Amino acid sequence: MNKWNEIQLNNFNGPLDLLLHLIKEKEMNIMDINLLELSSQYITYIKEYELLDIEIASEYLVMAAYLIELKSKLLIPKEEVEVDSNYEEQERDDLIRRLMEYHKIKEVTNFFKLKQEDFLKTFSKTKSIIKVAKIDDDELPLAQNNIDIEKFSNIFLRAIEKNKFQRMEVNTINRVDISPEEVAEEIKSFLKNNNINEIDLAKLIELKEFSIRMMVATFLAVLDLAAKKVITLSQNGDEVIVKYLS
Amino acid sequence: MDNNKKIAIVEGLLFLSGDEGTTIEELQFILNEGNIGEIEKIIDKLIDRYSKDKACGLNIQKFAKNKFRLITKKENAEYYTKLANVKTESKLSTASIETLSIVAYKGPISRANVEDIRGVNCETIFYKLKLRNLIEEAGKSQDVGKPMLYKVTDDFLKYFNLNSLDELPKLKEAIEEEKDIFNRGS
Repeated sequence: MNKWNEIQLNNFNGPLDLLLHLIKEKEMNIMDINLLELSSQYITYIKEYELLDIEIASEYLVMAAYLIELKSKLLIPKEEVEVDSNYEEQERDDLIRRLMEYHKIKEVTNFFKLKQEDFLKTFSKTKSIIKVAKIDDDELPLAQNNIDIEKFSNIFLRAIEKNKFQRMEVNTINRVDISPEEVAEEIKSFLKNNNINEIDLAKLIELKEFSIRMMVATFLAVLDLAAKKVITLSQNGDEVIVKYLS
Repeated sequence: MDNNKKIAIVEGLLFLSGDEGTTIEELQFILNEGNIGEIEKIIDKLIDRYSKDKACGLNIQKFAKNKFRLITKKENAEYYTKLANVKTESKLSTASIETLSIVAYKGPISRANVEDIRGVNCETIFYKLKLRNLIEEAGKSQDVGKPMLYKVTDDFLKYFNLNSLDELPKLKEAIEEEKDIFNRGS
């Protein structure tokens, strides 16, 4: 079965395009079209493509039907269609109007094609994202905390892994909406109330209050507390020590 | 501010803006310059320098009246296409170009009216042209069913290197000829 792109290979972009081509081929003046001949030509052409994908060729078929209707009216002896002649002329003029309109557009497509060629020869880069320095190095939250951030996050990852095997909580829906700010407050009061100056981060997050359910909130809360200098983080081998400052 | 510094700032801004290009308004804001004429002079100076300097690989495209885009010179295109990360951009098909030119000349226009002129369904083409940001919605028609109207975009003007739609070639007006049709017998 012929497909759409095969029709395009013949350089037709629709039924009007095909009509224009036939007009040109027959050296007919667009203003002086022999509609009878043109209709026959068009229908012959469509017949050759009888196996066309119907869905896609429907427009060509609609045009063919329209031309057959026009042709049949043109073939009826003149006297008998006197009443209808107005309508018939209107139809015919309408087709010629459409053809001319389409012809005008077709004539300028070359302009656009050449302009397109030019455009595709020029290159530019994508718009830059401007990065402007914002915080002084001294102010960087973790600069004072002498830890390897990789180790820090690994402690949380290990805690998550451990939880996966030890508890079957993973499959239960147990939603607690809690913000890092709230967790930070809890950590603060926990350290304060228990009079703890130093604790291993891994032990801290293993405490019931800061369990897997709010791991992300805890992670952010610890970073936030370090940034606000409520705690400091320091490294001791694989351990990260949380030190409560005030 | 010294004029050379202004030129340098404009050049830098053109570089940063890339494909999107920069507008007169943006330049006005950044240079804090009230006089549009002054800004145009600076741009013209840059364009002049780029086009005269054969040892310079850049150029400025002026489009959509007050937009400017820093581009590589087209005569060197074949060399740049040797780059490893070249992305092939499909050219617009003839059908797409036909559809686009109808919207350019007759817009704002509804899809149905474009289809009437082309004699074919244009749904897919409209979708693709919208995706490429070459046409955009331009309100609703007051006709029955209030169909959406479409017009071409600034990206269209960039793509075809036009300052405005006035630069489109004139369509052959056939009013006289059309009269003839009506006078002609069958």
